[in-house]
Amino acid sequence: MKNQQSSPISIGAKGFSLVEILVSLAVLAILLLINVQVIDQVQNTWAASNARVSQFKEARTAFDILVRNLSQATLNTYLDYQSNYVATAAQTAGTTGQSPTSYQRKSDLQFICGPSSAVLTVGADTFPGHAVFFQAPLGVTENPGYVGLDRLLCGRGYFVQFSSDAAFRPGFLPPGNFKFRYRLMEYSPPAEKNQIYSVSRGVNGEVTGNLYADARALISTGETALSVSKTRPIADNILALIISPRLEKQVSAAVLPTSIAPSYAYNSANIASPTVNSPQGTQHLLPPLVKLVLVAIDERSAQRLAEQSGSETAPPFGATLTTPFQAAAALEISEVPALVKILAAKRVNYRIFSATVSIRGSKWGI
Amino acid sequence: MIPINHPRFSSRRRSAFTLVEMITVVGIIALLVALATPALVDVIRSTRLNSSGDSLSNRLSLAQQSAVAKSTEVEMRFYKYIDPSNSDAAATSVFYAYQVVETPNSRDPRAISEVYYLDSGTVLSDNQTLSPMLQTAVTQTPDSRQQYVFKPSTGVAPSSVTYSALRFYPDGSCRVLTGSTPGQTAAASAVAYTLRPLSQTFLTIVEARDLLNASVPVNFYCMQIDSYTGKVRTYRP
Repeated sequence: MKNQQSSPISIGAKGFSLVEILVSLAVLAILLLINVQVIDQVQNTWAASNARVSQFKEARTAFDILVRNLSQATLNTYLDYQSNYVATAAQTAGTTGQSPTSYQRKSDLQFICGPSSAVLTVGADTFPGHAVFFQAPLGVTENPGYVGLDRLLCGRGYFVQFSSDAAFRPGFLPPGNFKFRYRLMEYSPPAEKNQIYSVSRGVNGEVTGNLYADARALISTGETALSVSKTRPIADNILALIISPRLEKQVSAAVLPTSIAPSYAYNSANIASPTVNSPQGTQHLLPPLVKLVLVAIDERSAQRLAEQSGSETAPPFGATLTTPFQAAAALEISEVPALVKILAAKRVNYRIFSATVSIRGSKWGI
Repeated sequence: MIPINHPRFSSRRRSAFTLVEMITVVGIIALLVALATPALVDVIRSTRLNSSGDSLSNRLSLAQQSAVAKSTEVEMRFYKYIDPSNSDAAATSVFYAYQVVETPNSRDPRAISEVYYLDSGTVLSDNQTLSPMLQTAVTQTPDSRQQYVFKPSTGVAPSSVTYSALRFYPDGSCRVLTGSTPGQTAAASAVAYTLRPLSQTFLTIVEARDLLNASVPVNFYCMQIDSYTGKVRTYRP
């Protein structure tokens, strides 16, 4: 009794002292801090893995589509006399005859691949990597009445472009906040719009115009059911598409599988590497194998790149995505590792898809 | 020593809270709850919208993949009917449910999934600017055994149900029902379903209270489907 009355703490003993409260608060704060850190970490990991899974799912789907369609590429070659079909006045009058110069492999179609900047005649900054264009019996039509004709010939093409989503996102979304990203684009005109029916041709029937000239025309906002854009994005955040035509096996120590396209460029309309026995070389032949490499990054990395580069509208990698790729023979040995080094330096979360597509329509050995 | 026995405690009546104290505390709690509720309700609403949209977009992908895997045409049907119990739109026909249906050539359509109802409080908009994919709705017809593929759970007559449909093809592409007579043969469905341009192939889930609003709602879940690849891309505000 006495003790309690005389002590100054006796009244305070009924509640907590200030020191006690402070101590308990401090302990609570430390616990909360730890908690917040753990939650933050878990949330980060979850979001990152989620972004990676969904992003790479999209890239994989696009890669599958690319592989599936490319393997169906065709040139529909035939053998015919090389001769001028446009008769001169004298020939029409019957005073002179016309004799063919040779018997040749011919095709009205074209398979072309190589650096996008050369194939599409565009800047390598916004069109990094390679482009491929070909014809395949895919049967995509605008007119629903043609649906039974599922083998109609269609032009197809794939390339990577750095572009905004302004043109194809739903119209009701508020303007602004456009997403500028590297995207894998697919050129897929319906069968009715195939350029092989309208492109200009030379006297021997060979294609002189560009079969795929309209590939650069991006999706337009004024699309209607009867004027569908010919190029659409099929996957976001694809940094590079590398295409390397190859032979099935190494012919000799000097002739590598990549010898048909040593610097990646291949055009079936051109006479390439002619020999005495084969004056046409690889003209009008499809490469037997095509090695494809696709580099995808995830959305979070893409966002970070856009923030780091300072400008939303400028491609964050500039031309550095294209420069490592010069010689097809060194693709696996040094070129892909060089690109990986660039990506690692920017601390980007990436994944590389790679496949060797065998083109069924190729008649290389014949 | 033993405080309870001390006379001062009983005299000052410190052993319990006073009424004023209690009222103050309860008042503070009530104030906090009142401040937090609107924010919380918004969070719940947008979570519901999110989960509703996520499940639909996942099921769209699943339907597309099953069309590729089974090499058949697979249809996603969106059912629209009048539900008098919906307080937001009791007299309007609204998209409440969807289902994956297989339509073998010249045979009865067959459901290959259960009916998925959108989470309560969320509906698929049928507005032209928000969901251009859901503009054609045809009436559900009975099959050869006089059965309907979809019977609403709320007692609405199945014959009054209309549906819009997306059809996935074995090559992975997606077409939209735009003809009023889909028919049951491959030839009829070839004409009734058309390939739409990318800027016209999206549909949007909105909150039920925004359904009858003509303007673009604050919160929405928009899914864009690429006609050629069947890929779903989502847009959130």
